[in-house]
Amino acid sequence: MSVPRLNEETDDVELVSACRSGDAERSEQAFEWLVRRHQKAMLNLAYRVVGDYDEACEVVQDAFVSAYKNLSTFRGDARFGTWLTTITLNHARNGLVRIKARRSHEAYSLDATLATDDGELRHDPPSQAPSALEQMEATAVRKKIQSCIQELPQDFREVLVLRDLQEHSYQEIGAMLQVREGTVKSRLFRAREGIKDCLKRAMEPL
Amino acid sequence: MTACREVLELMSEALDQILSPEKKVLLDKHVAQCPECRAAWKELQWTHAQLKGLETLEPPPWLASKIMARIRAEAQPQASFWRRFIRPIVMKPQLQVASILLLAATGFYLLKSQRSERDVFTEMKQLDAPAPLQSLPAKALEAQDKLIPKSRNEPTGLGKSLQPGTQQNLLEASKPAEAGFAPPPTATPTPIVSPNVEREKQERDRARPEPPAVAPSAPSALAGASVGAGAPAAAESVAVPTRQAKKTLKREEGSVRADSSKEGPRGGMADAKGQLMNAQEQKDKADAAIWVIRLELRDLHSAEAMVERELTRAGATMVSQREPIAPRVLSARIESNRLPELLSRLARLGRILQQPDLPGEHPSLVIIRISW
Repeated sequence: MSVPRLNEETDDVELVSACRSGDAERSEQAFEWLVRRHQKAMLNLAYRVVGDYDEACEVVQDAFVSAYKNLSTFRGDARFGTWLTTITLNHARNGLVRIKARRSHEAYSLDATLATDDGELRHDPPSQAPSALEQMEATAVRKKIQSCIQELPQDFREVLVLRDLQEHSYQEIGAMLQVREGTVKSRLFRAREGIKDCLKRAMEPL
Repeated sequence: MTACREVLELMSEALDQILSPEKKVLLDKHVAQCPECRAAWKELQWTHAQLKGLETLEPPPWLASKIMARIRAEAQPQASFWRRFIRPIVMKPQLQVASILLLAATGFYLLKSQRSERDVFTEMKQLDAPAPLQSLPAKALEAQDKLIPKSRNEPTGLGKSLQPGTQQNLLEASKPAEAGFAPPPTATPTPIVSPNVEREKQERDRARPEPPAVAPSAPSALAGASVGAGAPAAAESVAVPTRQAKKTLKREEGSVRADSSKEGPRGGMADAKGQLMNAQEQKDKADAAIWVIRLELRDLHSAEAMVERELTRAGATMVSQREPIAPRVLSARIESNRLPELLSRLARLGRILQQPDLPGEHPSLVIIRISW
């Protein structure tokens, strides 16, 4: 039986199987296909979590290398992308630690966090003029959203990125973060409220 | 308001379209009636839309290659300790060669410095207790041993063994001592020895037997013995025959070679043994006939040569230098009847400060010691 040729149309299951074939050359070739297929999503996930492009590239490299080393632990009950996302998220947390360590000597950020001293999210009442948000320019919104995401507590931030940016299901998010679905829902609600309020404050006159 | 709080929590699920139909109806009804919740619902929807509309970043073109490069690098087995540390050395022969050369040079330098220290130490020991020649007769050795100066005032000197040889060698050897201890040459040369030292020397001469004049081939062991400064104070040192003396001996006896430095050590030692035997016989005859002559010379640099010349002209033999380093004393053997002639010759060189009283009966051969 001839060995099927690997290409960009080969699904993740076959590629993973080829990685475990024992043939070093075929294994590397198959894994390279997996890298090229998932690197964009992983990069965006890492970027939204850590907030730094260079650090995100490092996170992605570490994640893929870990995935290759631990391919034997992938059982196949979840999608390869989901399994890889979990690995990337773990490495992104390490990246956050590195960033915090680097920025520990920097000036204290003047950006107010969305969390209060008690750990609760600041909740601003609904604006009487909801069109104020709509008045923000698109580019300004994009820039502000990223900073608002960075201001979220880490737990909320991860759920928000996985759901609204990576489009994972509640169930998958729960499996990745090892929390119940109800917790995922609650965190997501508070994360979205936090982004909303953050953007509203950006529009408030000084 | 409880209803508003419950409705707000439903809004997030409504965004994801996972609300049950009953909860969806509840939300729609409340939003229609509550302006604040209605505004909040609109804001949340707008925010959600913005999040969804965030641009996706493109990975850099090198990212995949770099990932695969890291994977291949980590896939290679790590070299063992030996391969990591020893193999690089093996692969750099130039470094090896340089290291070997450096080690060799260091070892050579250390060995050389140790040898030089050992040589100096050995010579220092020889100065303190010179080892006699093994081939010398016991009496000669004993006599030689008695010549070793014990005075503290006698510096140990260079410690170089002098070959019985040229006058030049002796002069050269004497230079450091001369420079260290000799007074500078002046128009009126002063007496070199103090009366006290001279008195002590005479007492020692009377107490101890005079050593025989050593054969010219008597080698370095004798010459390497004590050296001293100040001529008379070193009168007890071992005699070293001069070249003139060697020529004289060769002419007289016809069996001794002049240049013992070119001779084999055995030949030199055999001659020395023979000469010492003769010298011992003469010593026995002239046991008490050591006559001292003290001179005051003008030219100290060529004093030794001049005195030696006059001794030779007066028929003296076995002219020897009392001290290799401080040649201010010459001893020789001379027929007693030619002493007056010698004294008259020496008087032409300078002033005679001391001369022996010629007794009526005296041995035919006497030993004289001339100092200046």
